[in-house]
Amino acid sequence: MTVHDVKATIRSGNTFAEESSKMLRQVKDRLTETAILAHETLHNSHDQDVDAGLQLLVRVERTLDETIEILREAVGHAETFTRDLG
Amino acid sequence: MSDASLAGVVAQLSDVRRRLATAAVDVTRARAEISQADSRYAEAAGDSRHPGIRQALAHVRWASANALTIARFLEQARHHFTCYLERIVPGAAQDDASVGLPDGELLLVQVRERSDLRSGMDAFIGRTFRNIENYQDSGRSTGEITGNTIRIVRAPRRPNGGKYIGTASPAVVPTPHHIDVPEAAGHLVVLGLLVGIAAQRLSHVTRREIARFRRRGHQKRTD
Repeated sequence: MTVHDVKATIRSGNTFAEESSKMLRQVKDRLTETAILAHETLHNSHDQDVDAGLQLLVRVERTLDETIEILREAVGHAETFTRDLG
Repeated sequence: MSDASLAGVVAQLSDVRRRLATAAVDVTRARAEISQADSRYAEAAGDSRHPGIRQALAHVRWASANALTIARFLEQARHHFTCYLERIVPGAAQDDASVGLPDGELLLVQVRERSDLRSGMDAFIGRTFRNIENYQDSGRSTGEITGNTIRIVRAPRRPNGGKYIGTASPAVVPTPHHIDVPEAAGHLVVLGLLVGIAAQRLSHVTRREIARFRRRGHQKRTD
């Protein structure tokens, strides 16, 4: 494998990471709408399952944000390596 | 609460459940992309201990684990809403494959199954003709021909772990068929008849098509 090949492989990895990040952002946008719909529908319900479901949606939104950030950092680290390759 | 407003709650909750199922599938797809990034970085890294590429690898693996957690949370949330829905209107939550998978996924599964069935039929035809040749040398092969026929007709091959969408019965575990010579000869006669009918149909269609092309050619010349 040449330096050129290594750089190309990393670029390909970055593309996959960015694409997955884009997909997760789309999921996040749609999930926000879903959470609003769920909150509106289940407003004033004190059911345990409802509470658990709504809490999970909040955790999903938070984890999605975190994952998008992690992927952004992954690409940043990979680019640092590419730069150091010269 | 009136029936109409309860129906509204059921409809909206069903929509929420469907959206959550779709989101879980989308996150799983995103995770597949992350896995691709992981394998590219790993390939590029080789034995390098450069902190940049090591951090990149660690991060994509972290993201992959997170994506798995998200998909699980989505499924759990959907399950909680399903339980609630079932409690307020029993039977309202149809927890089947068509709710769990978006239309596109169902389509993919069906396409995959059709493709598998087609390859199964191709393999079967090949095997059948080979078996007929072998039958000339040994009468034992007839049992296999019939066995294959029964197996293919009863249980088309389907992808491992995939959900089956259709009306056919579940896969039949193949059992050894013991077939005596008169029975085998009977099957061969049936097989011969089927091949004969297929050949006749083919020649009929071919003759019709040739006639159609000739008519069309004649029409063009007269025009």
